[in-house]
This record gives sequence, structure tokens and C-alpha cells, in this order.
Amino acid sequence: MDDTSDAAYADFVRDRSHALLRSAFLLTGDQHLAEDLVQEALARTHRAWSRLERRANAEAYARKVMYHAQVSFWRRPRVAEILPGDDLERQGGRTDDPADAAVHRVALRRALLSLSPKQRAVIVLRYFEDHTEVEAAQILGVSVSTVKTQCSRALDRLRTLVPDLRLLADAREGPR
Amino acid sequence: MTGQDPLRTSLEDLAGTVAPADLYERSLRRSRRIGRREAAVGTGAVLLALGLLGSGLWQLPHSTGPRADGVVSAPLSPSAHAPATSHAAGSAVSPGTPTGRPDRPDRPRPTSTISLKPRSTSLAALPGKAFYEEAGTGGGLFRLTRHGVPERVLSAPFSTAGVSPDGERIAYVTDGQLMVVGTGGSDAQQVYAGTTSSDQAPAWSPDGNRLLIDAADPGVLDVATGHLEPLPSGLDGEHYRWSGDGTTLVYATPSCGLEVAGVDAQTGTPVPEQTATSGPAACRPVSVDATGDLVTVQTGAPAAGAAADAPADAVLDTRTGELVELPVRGTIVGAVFDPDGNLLVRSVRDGRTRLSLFDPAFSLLVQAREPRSLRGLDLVAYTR
Repeated sequence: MDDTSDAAYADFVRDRSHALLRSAFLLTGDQHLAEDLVQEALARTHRAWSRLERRANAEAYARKVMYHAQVSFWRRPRVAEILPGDDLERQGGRTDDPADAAVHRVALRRALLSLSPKQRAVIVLRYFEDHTEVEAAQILGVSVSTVKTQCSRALDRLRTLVPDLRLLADAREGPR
Repeated sequence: MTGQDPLRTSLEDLAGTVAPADLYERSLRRSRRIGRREAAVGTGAVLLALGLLGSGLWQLPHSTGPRADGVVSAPLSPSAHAPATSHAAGSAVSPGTPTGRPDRPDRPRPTSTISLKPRSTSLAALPGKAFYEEAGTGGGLFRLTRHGVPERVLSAPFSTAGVSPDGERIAYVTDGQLMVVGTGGSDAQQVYAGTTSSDQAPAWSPDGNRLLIDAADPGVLDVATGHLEPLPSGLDGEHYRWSGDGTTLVYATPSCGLEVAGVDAQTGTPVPEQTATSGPAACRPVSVDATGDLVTVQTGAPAAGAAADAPADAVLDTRTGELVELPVRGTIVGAVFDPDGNLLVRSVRDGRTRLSLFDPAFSLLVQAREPRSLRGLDLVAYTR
């Protein structure tokens, strides 16, 4: 890459790393694993930089690499572990109390980690990044019906593990 | 999308807990490694094709196709020579093995899963030196004295550190500088500048003359001359560790698999999929036995954000990918090999912490209560 491209890449990393980290954290449940995942996505984006015409393409490319890496080609499941003995059924009551909010975060994180990588990716794409089913299918390289199926199963599990999220499904499971 | 539903709000809340990180340099380093690996594989394929054409093997009607690992094991470039080869003691690497993994009889395994009777129950009978680190990085490095007292041997701030095989020197990284200091309190000397250490603590060669470090790329540093020889690009990984005999490297791949490679190999051999472990076990080998057949790893479930340097709690067979059941009661909270293949295990049972030292044949040499003064410290190394 020339100096201009180097500077553009540096700007891109500086501006978008944290946004990528946020999604990666939901995918992995761990700070270090999230950094590793984003590092891998950024590195492959760097190698493809000359082929990416616009900066928006760079972020889309990086996100696609990130999701594929997490779902497909990393040899081992790269997620934090769920601690044994967690009683998720009793967790999840949301209030404005900071302590309860922390408990809720723990419950949600563990519930996410109990999903399959593909289910977790679908949930993050649909409910965190606001992608449609069609867009999620394109990013993951699967059919729309697969996205629907994975999403439905994931929501069922999340509803079970985090009871106060039951509300979400009724309003959100329709096609978009 | 309304953005007001509970799941979205909860995901936003959870994602907000991730800490910012500067990934620019890390991503560039990884990009360079990917580039070199792609180039190496491409060059290897060309060389193989030329070799086949020259040898006429392509004309054999029933010849089997070349193995993939054979492709990349060809000498690829003059720079892909690991200096450890020429210096390694006893580096009798079988030339016929594509990745140079020495062919040797199976290492002994524990013959019993129940506790054995130790030859000694005195801490003073430990023939080597045990080193501890304050939990978390840079908190201090301590050596356990024969009187059972932790003696601070490194007080300077550091991000990562490695203890020499004889236990007499410490290499540590501080502010990107690689320093070496004697455990007796001598002045620290800078031996390299520009070290990035998040993925690689300084790893001493068995002869104590070289350090495997992560500079711009992983390489072997001659401590005396300051010359850094990059590792072959096919050894794409992090957390490299030497076997005690100097013939083998064990390391983690960027995708969290373990690989084993002879020191003059161009690529590594993946350790079979570990079915009995999960989590970070394959992300960071902690210490390697004398031959490279066994490695200590961390298999537990550390708290989020604290996984990077947790002590090993298990021994894994690099030939089978299976865990080796150790004859130790209680929960293992530390396990380290010394260069000779002796294994020091730290375990907790009923609130009491014990140290158990096994020889390479898994005979129990010493089992002793660990002093309470070591609570809050992690076992990180055991040396001669």
C-alpha cells in the first residue's frame, strides 16, 4: 500500500475498531477473544484494502470476515466459557438498579454463549446490527430460511434463559 | 427496527462493557504474517511442481498425490532458516518427517491415577527453583526459597517475563524494551528494542543463549550478539515454547489450535483436536516437557478478561490431543515442566495448597505443603 492508503487504513482502524469490538464481544463473550477476532478481520481487510473502493466497503468486508471467522473457519470454538452451576432461570430480572443490571448482563452474556456460533451470529446481526434477514443471510453466506430457523431457535433459548426477554420475540419474529 | 425492544437494549448494554483497544499495529503484524504464509505456500507449490516435472514422478500411473504437508516442508527461502537448529543441543531431527518432528518412543505416562507416596515431603527437597508471579501482569516475580519464603527477584515493572532454564536470569519486556537481569539482583541490561510481547513472553532456549521473542515478527534472538533471526514464515503462531532438548517448538496458531514443529521445520504439525478440553487450552501453551510430547495448558474457565496469562492446570499430550490424568488429589492450579521434563504441579484440596514434583517417568519425587505466603501468586516456572 502507498502512504495514502496506509493513512486511510489507519484512519479506518482508529474510527471503526471499537464498533467492530462491540459486535465481536457479543460473538465471543470475552475481551481478549473479541480483540483477536477483530484483529483477524482487520488484518484480512488490510490485505484486501487495495481492492476495496470505498471506506464503507471496508467495514462491510471486515464485518463479513469477522462473522465468517467466528462461525466457520476458526478451528476451535472461540468463545468464553460458561461457568458451571449458573442458575440462569432465576436471572434476568431487569430493573434500574445497577446491581440488577450487572446481573442481567451476566445472564444475557451466558445465554448468548449457550447458543451455537451461527445462532449467536444471527442474533447479533438481526438485533444488534439491525440487519434484515436477507442481509444477514448474505453476510453469513446462508439461505434466508436458515437465518429464520436459526433465529427462531436462538430466540426460544434466550427466552428460556433470560425470562424478561420474552417480550422481544412476540414483536420481532415477523419477517422483515 | 424500533431499537426499543428489550433484546436490542440489552445487547447494546452488554456490548458497551467491552474496553477500547488499539488494534492498528496488531492487525498490521497479522496481515504481514498472512502475506508471508501465502507467499510461502505459493512458492512451495511451484517448487513441488518443478520437482515433480524434473523427477518424472508425474508420469507414474498409480502414484499417489503428494501430501499437502510435503508441499510446504520444502526449503522455501534462504531466510527461512531457524538459527535454533545449528545451536540446539541434540537437534537430531528426522529428515524424513515433513515437519521435522523427532521420531522417538512414547514418553512414559502416569501409571496410577491415585496419589502416590512421595520420596520426600519437604519443600527443601525440591531440586529446582519455583517461580511465582503476582496474579495479573507486571505485579512482581518471586522465587520460592528453600525456606519456603517468596523472594522477589524482579521488582521492575514488566508486561511479560521468562525465566532462564537455570533459573539464574530473567528476560522481561517493559515499554517495548527486552531486558535481561540476574535473579541475584544484578543490573538489568537491554538486549533488544522494539519488542511487542502481548502474544509472546520471552522464551529461553534450553542452552540459555537465545530468546524466542516477538519483535516485528517472531524470531530467535542471540542474547550475546543481539542478532535476531526470524522464524520460518510457515510457523505462523504465537506463544512459542521450546522443548527441553531444544529440538521442538510448541505454539498456538492464530485460530487457537496447538501445533508442534521441529526447530528446523518450515511448518508445524497440528496437535489432534482436543476433545477433552475446551476454552483457552489450545490458545496458549505454558510449558513444554523435555521432548515436546507433553505440554501444560490452561483448560479452566477464567473470568472474562482474565484469561490471557492464567496458570496452566493440565497436561496435554501433543501426539494425541488428550489430557494426561495426573495422580494428584484436589484442583490443579498450576503445572509447569522444567527443561529436563520434571513436572511441578500445584494443587488445592480442603483449603490446603500442595506442590508435587514428578520426574519424567511420573515418579513422585516430592510432595509438600506450600507456604501460605504464596497465596495470591501464580506458579509460572520451574527451573533447574
